[in-house]
Amino acid sequence: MLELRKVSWAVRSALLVDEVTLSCTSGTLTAVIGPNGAGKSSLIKLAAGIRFPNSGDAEFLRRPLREWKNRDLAKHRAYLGQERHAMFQFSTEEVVLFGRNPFNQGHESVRDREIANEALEEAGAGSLRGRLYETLSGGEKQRVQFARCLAQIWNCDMESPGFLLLDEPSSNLDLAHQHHLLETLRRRCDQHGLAVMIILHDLQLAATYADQIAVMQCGRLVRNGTPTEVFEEDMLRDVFEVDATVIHPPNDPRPRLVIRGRASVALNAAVSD
Amino acid sequence: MTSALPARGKIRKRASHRARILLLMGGSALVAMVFAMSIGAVSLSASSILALLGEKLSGASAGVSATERLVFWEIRLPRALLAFLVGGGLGMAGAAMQGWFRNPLADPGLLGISAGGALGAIAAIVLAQGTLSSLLGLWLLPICAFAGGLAAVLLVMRLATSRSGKTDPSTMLLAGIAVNAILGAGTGLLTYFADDQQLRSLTFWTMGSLSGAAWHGVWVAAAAIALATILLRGSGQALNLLSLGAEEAVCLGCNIDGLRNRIVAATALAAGATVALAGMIGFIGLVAPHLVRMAFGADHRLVLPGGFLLGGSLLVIADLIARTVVTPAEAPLGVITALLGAPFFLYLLTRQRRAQEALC
Repeated sequence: MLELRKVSWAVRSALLVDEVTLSCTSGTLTAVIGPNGAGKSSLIKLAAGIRFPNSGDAEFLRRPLREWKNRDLAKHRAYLGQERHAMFQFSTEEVVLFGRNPFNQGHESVRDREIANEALEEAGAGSLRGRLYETLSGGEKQRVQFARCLAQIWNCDMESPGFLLLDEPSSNLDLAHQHHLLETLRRRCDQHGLAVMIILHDLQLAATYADQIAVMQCGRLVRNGTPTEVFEEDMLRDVFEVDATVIHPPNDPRPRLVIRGRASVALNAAVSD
Repeated sequence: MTSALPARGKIRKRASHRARILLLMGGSALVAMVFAMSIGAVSLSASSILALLGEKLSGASAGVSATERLVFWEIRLPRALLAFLVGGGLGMAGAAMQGWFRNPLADPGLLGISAGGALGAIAAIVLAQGTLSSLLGLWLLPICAFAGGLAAVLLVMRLATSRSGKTDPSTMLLAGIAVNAILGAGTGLLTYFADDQQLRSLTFWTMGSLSGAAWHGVWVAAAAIALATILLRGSGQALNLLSLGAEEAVCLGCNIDGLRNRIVAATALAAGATVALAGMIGFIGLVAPHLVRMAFGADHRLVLPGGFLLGGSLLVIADLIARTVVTPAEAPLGVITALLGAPFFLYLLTRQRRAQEALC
């Protein structure tokens, strides 16, 4: 669905994304992980078509992202950025209904309202109906924003592919809601053929739910593969500077990570890399 | 009024809900205008105003005195209409600016758009004599004011909006202060060069007044407002999306560049050009959208036209106060709106601060 080929993006002299090649296909959940400042958010913006690379190709459904019309792209691609603040006193339903805008241009049908309600339920935010968005807590806002994205790609399926990009959607969520979010994404991938690109800081969450793990470091994609391929003790020490043990349970493709603490040789490893 | 809101959980067509609210506000605006037109040195009752209007439609005389007829058609009606259009333009421009900057403090006065319009008008009075003024006639002032307003709004937008459409509240306020200062310096310079007669008309721009209201002014204002309304058509939903953030709005199919251009042109028309007709009038553009939001919610599809209707009504009332409070003289309109609007502005500031403290 999405093809990034040697994309680089520099703002002034800072190289934020350095020759990254990555693809997201229908039905796969791609987790982008990496330390702070590794270029994860920049990469997801290139993938969403919000920003355009200085070099390399970024294609969505075999067509360069640059050539897509904003309104057409919005029917297939939803993006949840790190902005959680919404100006003015909108209700949670109104915020979720904004997700239907690509299809109704602001003329909401009864069906759009039903979708908004169902999306709130699916995002685990049904209890927040009738509240003012600005009065919600950080985690509640994230759930409502997730519902807004779900409403946008609600009818996407194999015929009308959907691509969902989420920049740290779980940062303020409690454990149960983190797993609810990823289970929802997993189900949408498996049943509707959705492609998901998600930035996660919780590595165990990434290992448990993702099909593809993309590890970013200093703007470069340093590892890319299945959780079993990517999660190695050396990688965790070199990239994340933690001392960890990776357990591969028999008959389970999902590795378990036991993180013991900060790696003592982390700095040397980063320099020699 | 809140009872008109749909019951929770009940699915209703919001478009007709918005239409009902706007109809209600339009009706209130009409009542305000009739009330304002009835009061003055010659008092006209509501029934005689209706009789005068009916006379015009049917062509038959309805037993109204010639004085009443003259006062209504040549003084009261154009003045009320102009007050409504100017106030409406300011309210609509304020709503658009607040939406674009995602900041409830944005206002055509604060951002220097009114000052830009005033500088354009003053420059036209002091400098553009002779061929240019004879060529454009009565349209010279509004066009120059529009150009001044346009320059100001472009400058503020450029300074306070990043290339991706992100806006920063503090940069917006600082840019507004800087632009106001530059324009104020220009106005001061022109005042220095003006002769006595020009000075007298210059004070008009800085204080605001509708005492010179006449039909040609009504037509100019109506043309500017009509153009601005056409430009802002459909941008209510775009501003709603923008309230989530610029990148989010883009991803929901909003065309940020197009929206920016339309808002620049519309605010320059609605707030800049109207300065040419009534001078600088503060706080209407700030207060009107706020009141609409407080009463009916934040939906810009309602706040834009609602800001227009309420801004118009507020200025009609403010003008009524201005011309009756110190009869037979007239109080400057800008002073009245500032006296009523500034305390409200302070209330907003403290409320916003309290809300922020509550979130921390």
